[in-house]
Amino acid sequence: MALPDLDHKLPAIDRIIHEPARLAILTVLSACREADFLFLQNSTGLSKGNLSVQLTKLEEAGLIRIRKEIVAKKTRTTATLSARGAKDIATYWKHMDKLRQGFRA
Amino acid sequence: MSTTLDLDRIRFATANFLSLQGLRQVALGVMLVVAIPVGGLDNIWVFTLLMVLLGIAWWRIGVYYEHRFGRVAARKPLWAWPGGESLLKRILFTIAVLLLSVVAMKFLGVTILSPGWMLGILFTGWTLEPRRWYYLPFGISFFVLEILNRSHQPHLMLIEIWLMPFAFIITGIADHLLMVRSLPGVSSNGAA
Repeated sequence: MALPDLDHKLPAIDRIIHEPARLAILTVLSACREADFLFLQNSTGLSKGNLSVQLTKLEEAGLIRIRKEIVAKKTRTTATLSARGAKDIATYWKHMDKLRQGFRA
Repeated sequence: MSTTLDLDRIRFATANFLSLQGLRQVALGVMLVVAIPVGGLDNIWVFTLLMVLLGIAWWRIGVYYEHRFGRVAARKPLWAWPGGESLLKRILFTIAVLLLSVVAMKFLGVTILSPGWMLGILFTGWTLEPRRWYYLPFGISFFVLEILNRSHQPHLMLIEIWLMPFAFIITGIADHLLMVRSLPGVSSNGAA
């Protein structure tokens, strides 16, 4: 039995966002104005190294902004969703909803 | 990182990070437990001292949450009118509260500006927030006690007075545990 040709119906999934670790980070940042590194680590369960790598990738993709400041002699890293990041994550979820509806139809 | 993440839960814990810092409520409940037997609610000096101690406790608890869980700048202010994210729910809740209050005042003779009635509104309102069903029994209890206690009977007043601190303590602990369980990086390392 031939599989249905779904390619022309499937919306493009943003692979930067779709990766689970990055999706979790963007989910946290879309629910607040900004969050620091410790909260991102606690909310995603990522290790420090992995979280740093993912934040860098998201910043390079223009989806988040990172601010570093010295507070009580310690570096505090804070991340914020950029305007582009907010738009792209909203688009991503619309595409995921379309995908889900496509498989149900 | 666990293989499956509940994004909805993470979103909820982030959006409500400030209000889920339940140890602040526990401190308020403990303050009331201390204040009630010593007449702290009637004596201005004792009350002032307890409020200062509460302020220090709240500051210290805030420092604990920041050091243990991190820092979030919330979109929703802590004093946001209950009803969750939905504007419609908040409007419906406000209408329901006004109707209930008018009926209670006109037909049952309830004093709706009393602390008990206000706490009933507050606790019932918090039930509208996702996953915080544990506020409902206390909200209903405050309403029922206010209705039963229209004639200010001492034993009912005593029950109501003592219900207040324990309502804050129990819901505060529940809020704290809800936050701990909602954050994968915290729950996998054991309770905070």
